[in-house]
Amino acid sequence: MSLLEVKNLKTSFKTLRGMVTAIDGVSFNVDKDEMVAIIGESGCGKSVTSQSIMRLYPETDQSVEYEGEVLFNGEDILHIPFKEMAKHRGNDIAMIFQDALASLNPVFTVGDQIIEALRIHKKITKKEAREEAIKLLEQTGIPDAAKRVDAYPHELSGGMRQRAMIALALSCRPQILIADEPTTALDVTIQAQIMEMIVNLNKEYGMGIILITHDLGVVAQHCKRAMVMYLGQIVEEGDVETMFKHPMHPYTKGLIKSVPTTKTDKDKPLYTINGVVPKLSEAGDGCRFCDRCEHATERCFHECPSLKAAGEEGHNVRCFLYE
Amino acid sequence: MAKYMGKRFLFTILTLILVTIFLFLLTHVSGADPAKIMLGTNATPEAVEAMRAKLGLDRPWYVQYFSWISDLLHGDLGTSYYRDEKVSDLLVKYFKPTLALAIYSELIAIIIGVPMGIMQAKNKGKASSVIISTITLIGLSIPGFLLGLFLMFFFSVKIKIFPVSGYKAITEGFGEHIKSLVLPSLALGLSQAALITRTTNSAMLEVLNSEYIKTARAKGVNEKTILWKHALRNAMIPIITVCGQSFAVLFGGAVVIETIFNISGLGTLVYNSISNRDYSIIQGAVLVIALVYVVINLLVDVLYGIEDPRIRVGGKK
Repeated sequence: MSLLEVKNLKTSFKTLRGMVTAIDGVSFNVDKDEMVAIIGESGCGKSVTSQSIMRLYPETDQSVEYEGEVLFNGEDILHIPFKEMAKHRGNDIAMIFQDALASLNPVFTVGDQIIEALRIHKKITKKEAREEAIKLLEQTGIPDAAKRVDAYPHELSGGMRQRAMIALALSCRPQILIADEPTTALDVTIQAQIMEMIVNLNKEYGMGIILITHDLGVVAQHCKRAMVMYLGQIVEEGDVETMFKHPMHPYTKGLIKSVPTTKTDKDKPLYTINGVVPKLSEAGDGCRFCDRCEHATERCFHECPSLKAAGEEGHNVRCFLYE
Repeated sequence: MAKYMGKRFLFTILTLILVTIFLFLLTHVSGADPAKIMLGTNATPEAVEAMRAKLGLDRPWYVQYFSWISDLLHGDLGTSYYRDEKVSDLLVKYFKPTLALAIYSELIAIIIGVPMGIMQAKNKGKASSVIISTITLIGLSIPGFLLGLFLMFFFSVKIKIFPVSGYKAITEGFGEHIKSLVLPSLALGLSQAALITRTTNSAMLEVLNSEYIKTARAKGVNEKTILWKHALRNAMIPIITVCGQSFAVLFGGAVVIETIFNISGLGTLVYNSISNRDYSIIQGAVLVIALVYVVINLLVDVLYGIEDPRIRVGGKK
């Protein structure tokens, strides 16, 4: 049994034009010690996937509907009461977000925000929690943590804020950490430091990590398995090394081709995938990528391919080209 | 924080100086001659001149201004042209009911408005939210005097639990005092409550959509704490602003309600003085109202600083 099993997850939102399915049948597993990447352009459903696992959308107004299963240690956390879910959040599954400035509450000190998380899940005094918070900040490499614990988010630098955010996520030693584009808003040098820290968490504490990113370099360097998402569906998944060397789905191929390398001809314009990610409400019955695909046939416009094994073991692709 | 406060305080003083200049010029250029007003239309030019000299009105305007300011700083606002009473005594007498009325009205407005706004934001998309928004619209649309008359009809005339009109000072017993102000406070407070509800609702909706609310949820904070601690603290700035504004408005703008409930307040004093052209009282009353505005604004600024650490350091950079 995997630590986290996502089975056929479907998330729909209520909009003015009716229910829109943002993620359509996503399945994957995350094991202990494992670092899995979810790749895709903006608007592909990466963040919705992670926030659905955590159930971060307010459910009181029935604006969101979930289908499928999310099994954490075998327990379906997708359908337990919303209040029960709060016990898992932060404690078993934690999350770090892209923009730490927007994600930390501006009117509370970082220390208070970590202390709050600690005291929700652990029975400890305020003083103990404060010491623990300072320790956590130290661990994430914040210098002068005893002083910074009383700083407000706006008083810290970008990198420091992301470290504080990670300290907050780690406060209760979760078994799974979801990192939603943790380095996108940071300088390149700090990006590397933060990534290194996340990789160490995975190795040292055996934390299962879901890394959401559109930085293929980071994925190639650190992850074993990856899933490529397009418009709410997984279009290709498998071992990172094989997938990056021999991408199968036209979308994956396009993504990899779009990354400049040292061999890229500087005089030619960089390769791009035609068009943009269409709106969810415009998705038809056919393959969701067909409008932008160079290989699209008549069939692609009427019928949606399913995710099927192709090539090496564990390598799945959603494309008629490989049937 | 000290620097921020110092800056605010300096602005306050500056505002007050500007108010006095403006006030002085206003009465000065209005063309009304206090000497003529005091002596009546039948006075001889010589008598008027003599009166002008006696009042010091023959001096240059800047001398008059500084002597006025000097008197002001000594607590002397002059004497009413009409009644033989000191303006400062009159102002104190008429200010008390207005202050009491404003405080109770604002309390009613905040106690009703803030929770209603929070509930409306929390129940977005549900029937209860629509009901609150309808009530708010009604509250904003009904003029205060109409509401006052309705309240008077039901609670004073029909079931007779509150007096029809009149004001009882707190020295005449707290119970009586409160009883005399319940209806006018409601008449004034309910429309302010509607305003506060709207502001609270929109501020809360915005905050509830922000990323840090997601973070709070992601670390396992329950929905109640998210609403009342994480969201409300961040929504406080617009709420404090609107509460401050509505409180200030209650000081100068309660004439109609004061008249209906026969309360001799500041609004009534100003109204009567304008009809009598009793400029020394108008000057004094406007000054008091301006002072109230300035003090409330200062208070609002202090609350901003306490509320939001980002504002507190505003003076640092």
